[in-house]
Amino acid sequence: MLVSLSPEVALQVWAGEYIAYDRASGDTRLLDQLAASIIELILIRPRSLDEVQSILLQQQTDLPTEEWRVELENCLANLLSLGVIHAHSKSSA
Amino acid sequence: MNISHLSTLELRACLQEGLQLKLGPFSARITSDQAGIAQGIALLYPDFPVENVNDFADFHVRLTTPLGLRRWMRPQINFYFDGQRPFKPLPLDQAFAMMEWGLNWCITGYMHQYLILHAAVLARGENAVILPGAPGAGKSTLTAALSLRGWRLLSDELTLIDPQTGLIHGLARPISLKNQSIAVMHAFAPEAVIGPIAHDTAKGSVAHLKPTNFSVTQVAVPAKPAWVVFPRWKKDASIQFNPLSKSLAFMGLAEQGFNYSVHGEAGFNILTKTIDACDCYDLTYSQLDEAIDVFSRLELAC
Repeated sequence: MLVSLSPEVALQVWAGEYIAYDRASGDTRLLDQLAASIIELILIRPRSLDEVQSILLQQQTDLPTEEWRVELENCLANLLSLGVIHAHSKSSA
Repeated sequence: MNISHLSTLELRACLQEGLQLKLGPFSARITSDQAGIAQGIALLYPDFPVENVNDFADFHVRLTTPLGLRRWMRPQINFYFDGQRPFKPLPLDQAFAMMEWGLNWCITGYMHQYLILHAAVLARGENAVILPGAPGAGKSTLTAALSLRGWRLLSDELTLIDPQTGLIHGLARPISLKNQSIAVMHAFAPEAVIGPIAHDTAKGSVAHLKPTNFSVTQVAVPAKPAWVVFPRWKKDASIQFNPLSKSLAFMGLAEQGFNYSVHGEAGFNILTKTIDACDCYDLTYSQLDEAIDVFSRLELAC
């Protein structure tokens, strides 16, 4: 499974800060720094959750790995549940 | 013809039949038999054009006292919009304030050809500064002060953004002053015309400041968004004026959108373009003159 930006979402970025507008719900959200990092990765190309986690885990140095992993998983879960990103099979990417 | 061309009797006669007042891009037909409405319009709207009563009107509003005892005992005023009464009656001495609030309600509820933000807006030349602010942030007081120091008032409450052009259209209606800000403006500009104070309203004591003639005569000239400043009055605070990220400014403006959601993705795009065009700031102030200096520097830097 890959994750990519939901087709329902329009993005605006200023100085690395992302705002997501969800066409389906009409919600507008300011994404935090971690969510923005995830979005930047999947904007390059759809990636698996494992790949996203692996890349971001390598980049962070501040938090203990396990704490960071939990934070990252929560952030990914939030983005999925809010519909900002969506999971799909490779064929539908 | 302007309101000032009408005598008191003529104005009251017009109001009995329906006074068609041009309010920036809108026309309102106002009917009332109340002296307080006529006095308020005469005092605070003298430079506004009066249109032919047969012209198209965006809003038909009527302010009258209820029938029965309430006409005489603790008299009240009702606001009607297209024959409907959207609000409970208020004490009669709040009649003019009710007209102002009712007109705001008409615009925010129905004029969706504009993206409407709950924010004051003024202009210098062709450049507009948008001042969003929570109640009590000192937005109207600052707006009043700037308008009396050469800035052109577009509105103290409603920023109307044209989705097609991105330009901001003005109303230049009287500025609503609340509580301490009434005395502050009297002291700041003793020559300013401020209407009678309505006490014990839902917002406390309220009075309205007459817009400058310059603002009213230039009301048809739109301005382009150049700055967004989030003001906050804080007692005894030294002035602070700091850049604000565009993303935070965007979210702050979106929260103040009366009809942001009505516009859907177009609203998001309009607001994005507006923020793109603006430098954004947070302002904390306690002294009006210091705040005005900040805005003067903004203008010079443009």
